[in-house]
Amino acid sequence: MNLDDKLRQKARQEDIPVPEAFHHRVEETLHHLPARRTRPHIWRRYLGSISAAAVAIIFLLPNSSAAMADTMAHLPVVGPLFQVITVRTYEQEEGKNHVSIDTPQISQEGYSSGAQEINQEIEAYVEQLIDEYEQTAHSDGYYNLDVTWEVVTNTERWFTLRINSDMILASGNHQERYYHIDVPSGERKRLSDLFPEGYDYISVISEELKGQMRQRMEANESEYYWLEGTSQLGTYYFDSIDPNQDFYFDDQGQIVIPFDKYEVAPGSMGSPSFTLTTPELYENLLYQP
Amino acid sequence: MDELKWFTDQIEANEKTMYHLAMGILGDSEDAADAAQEAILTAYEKLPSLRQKESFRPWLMRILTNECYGILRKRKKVVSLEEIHDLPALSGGDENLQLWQAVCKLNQQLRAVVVLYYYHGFSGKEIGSILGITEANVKTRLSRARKHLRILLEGSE
Repeated sequence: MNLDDKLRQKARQEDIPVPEAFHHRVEETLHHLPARRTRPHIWRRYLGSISAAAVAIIFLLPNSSAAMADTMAHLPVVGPLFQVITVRTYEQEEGKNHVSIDTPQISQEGYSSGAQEINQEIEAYVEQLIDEYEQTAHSDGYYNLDVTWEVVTNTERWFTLRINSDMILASGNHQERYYHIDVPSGERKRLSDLFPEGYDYISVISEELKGQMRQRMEANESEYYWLEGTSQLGTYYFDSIDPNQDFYFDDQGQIVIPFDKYEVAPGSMGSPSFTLTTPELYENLLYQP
Repeated sequence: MDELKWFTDQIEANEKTMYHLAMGILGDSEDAADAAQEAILTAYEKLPSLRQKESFRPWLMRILTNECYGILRKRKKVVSLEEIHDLPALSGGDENLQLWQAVCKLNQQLRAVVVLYYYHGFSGKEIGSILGITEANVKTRLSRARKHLRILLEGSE
């Protein structure tokens, strides 16, 4: 008997048990599935549109045609100073793979160092996503990616653009990136710019987040976060935010910290976000939306 | 048949494969349960887009693999293909699980291929589709895994 056959035979003979905890989690998940799917997702609009073996790459450039120019003229104007347009759409379908990426660009009446920096960064990010897609997708794959953008805030004082990246089918991963501009100066701002130098905003925010996570776990046993002392995993804990952690202002002007999937909790928790309420933070805030 | 019932039956029939694959990639049963849970939710959500229901099994494993990789990326546990680590045994020291004990000592990329090929009978093409690699790459990994397993099994016999 050659090694291949020997390995096959051994594998057949071995019955590796599934631990009770794993089995319980599977059963629990199945038990809670809705009879009708309720989680809304962008992928729905692609259903039925995935054609076999058709490969199409479309780059739509501004003013590349009269029709395109007309379309661009009707894109949303988001404010007197900053506006966002989709400058390029990358679409590809190949077998079961599908990708659709809208690349936005911020334009402004005058010069804005922030807009220029963010536009370059978005361009690089999109290139990276396309590279990843081209390396990962293949004819037997199930790789769907959808990248869209949204203006979160646009006032006389503050501008925020969010890029949503949904990896569909293959993993169900959702990622968000936020880009902010202080409108009066036109400069790009990050979390660390919101507070005076020397103010320990990292500790204040991290402590509030950990407190909120504990409260949520106490209030709802189906919520679970990776916190020291509460996690059974023993391998990873959320302890502190990144100095330039992503954030945005909600419509009440409160700071919201969104986390990516798996960043602070198991994937089943999705992408949790927390609205900060510590008064001290707002007393130290240098910018208002 | 009711779609939810059909889906539940499929998941239950594939529970063992899901556990072995997730353990093969993640090496941690709690992580494996997280990945499986999220994979089930994603699969259920995306089920209408799966036109050929007979492809459900490799499709589900592909979703699970991506959940596992997502967890690895977030938690920076990725083990390089070139490194061969002695990972902690995945399921105690049961002498009846001689091959499994040896598989546990392979790196995660080789483990996943061995689990799918030897334990669950997936073809090279299917494994390529599940792990997002080419069929040729699957063969290379299987060949490497066999070399290591030969040494590991000889040592334990």
